[in-house]
Amino acid sequence: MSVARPVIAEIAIGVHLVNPELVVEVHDLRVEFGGSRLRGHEPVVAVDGVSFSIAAGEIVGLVGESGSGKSTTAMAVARLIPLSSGTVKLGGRDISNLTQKQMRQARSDIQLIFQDPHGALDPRQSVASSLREVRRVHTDRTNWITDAELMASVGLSSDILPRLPHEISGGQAQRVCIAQSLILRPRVLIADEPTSALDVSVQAHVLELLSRLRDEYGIAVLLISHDLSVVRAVCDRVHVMQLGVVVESGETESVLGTPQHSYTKQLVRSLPGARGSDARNSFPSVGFS
Amino acid sequence: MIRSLLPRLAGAVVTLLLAVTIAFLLARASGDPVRQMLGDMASQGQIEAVRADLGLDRPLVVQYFDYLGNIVRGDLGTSLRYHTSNWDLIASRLAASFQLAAAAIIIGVVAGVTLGTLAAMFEGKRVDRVAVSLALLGQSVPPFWLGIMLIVVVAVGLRWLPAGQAGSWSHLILPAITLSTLPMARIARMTRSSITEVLEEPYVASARARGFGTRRVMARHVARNAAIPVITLVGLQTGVLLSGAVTVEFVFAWPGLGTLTTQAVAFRDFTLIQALVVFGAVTFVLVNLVVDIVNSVVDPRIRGTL
Repeated sequence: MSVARPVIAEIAIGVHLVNPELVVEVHDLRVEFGGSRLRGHEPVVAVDGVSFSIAAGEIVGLVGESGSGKSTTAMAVARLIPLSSGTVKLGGRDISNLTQKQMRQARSDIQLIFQDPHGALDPRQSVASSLREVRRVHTDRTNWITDAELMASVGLSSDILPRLPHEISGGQAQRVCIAQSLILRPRVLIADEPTSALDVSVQAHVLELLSRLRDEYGIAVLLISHDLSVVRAVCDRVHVMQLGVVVESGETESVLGTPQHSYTKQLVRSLPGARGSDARNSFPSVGFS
Repeated sequence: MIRSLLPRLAGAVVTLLLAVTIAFLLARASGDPVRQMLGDMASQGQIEAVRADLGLDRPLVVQYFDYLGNIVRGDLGTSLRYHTSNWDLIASRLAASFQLAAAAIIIGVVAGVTLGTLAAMFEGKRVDRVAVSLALLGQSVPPFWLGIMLIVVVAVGLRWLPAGQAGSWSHLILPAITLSTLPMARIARMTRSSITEVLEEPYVASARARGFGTRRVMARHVARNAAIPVITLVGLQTGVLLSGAVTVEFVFAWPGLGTLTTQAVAFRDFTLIQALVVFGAVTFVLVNLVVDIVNSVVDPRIRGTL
């Protein structure tokens, strides 16, 4: 376990690790917003010097309160917002300086799942139509699975295919979002608060699905959450962020069981019934192991 | 689709009934139409005779149902000034008004959507500021003033285009540009705000995250979702323009419904005014129905509510 800056390229030996290959390597990431030298405005530093890595088949958590820079880190790692400095490597390849066109091709390897599942689906597109569009754009990556198989793999029936987003539940919508990512066989899945908009029982099902996909496909998962019980339930390692900086990193049980940094201690104390209990067991049970 | 449109059609009939009722009541609430028509010099005998001739001596309720019955039969009455069918008068001006309205709405939509899209795509940048300023200018400049300025500068000063009246396509340019400025400005502002709002939607970030190119994201996800309020606005503007652009037609002596309305008011031809109001209401309701149908094609969520 490390306190303050994490060790770059640390390889976690999580219980679920199926492949020790590093899929994501983030080094000294910095993201700034605004600022103008001409007008003398200082930029707002949203993420400062963040470094971490994720191996294949590993779930790494990024926790912290709202505004701590978790989502900004996720968007920057996915290159959806520009990096001010630092590097992001995907499968050993530096993607920090790729053009948008080059990045579009690399996107199939790094997929995102958003907080609001209904909001992440185009309200005009049926489930089938949205999958068809992904297939049309990435013809070479999507032939490995049929729509019906894809739906089954995320625990949905094919009946859902002709439906529009407003005709399905939040849990179903999140599974559809995961299916849209899974169809590309990504190496990394960044899940930004994937359960915070869902009912507790549905949250558990979605987390179970993420764990299963990691096990079956060896996908590396970066799970962004402010909910420590969620992180504790599925993550092999965790990084705690405060004000854009990683303040503590390590194996989940270690960091959340015996936190070293005052901020982490504060977060752990705020977890209802978490002190002295095993949140892995306290989370609504759908069969986490 | 037709079955789902039935409630809308029923609503349209109610709207039309309200419009024709208001037109009927307003024509009578503004004073005795016969006295207004004949002027102060007419004798009481003459007034009574004309009133009886027009059926205005009957009880108001009888007049109202008679008027409704005529409208249902497609009879909009006879003009007091022109002594000809109001419907024939409207039909004779319809082509000119339609031509002007169509040209203005095409210019308004093309310019408005282009300006609004550029402004949204470059939000906060110079392009945005220029586009927003142009839209504000288009909304602030009174059409009659712009029309007169265009006549003075382009027609009289530069002699590039004719100053007024219908004729060749060149006669259409100045009134169409004048008439298009307000719709253009409104469409530009609506397009900008609608696209800006949609660009913030998570499904746009999601589409980008899936590796979709900017063109695909803009065309398939942003434009179609941002189109609904713009289509509704275009429909409303089309309704306004089709039912007569009074000031612009007057300034350019354009022989359309706007000019006919001005003449009907000037000569206190209350049957023609009533007919024009009914025609305007029908046009509005029909355009709104078309807008509903187009919106349901663009957005499948609306199909269930139609």
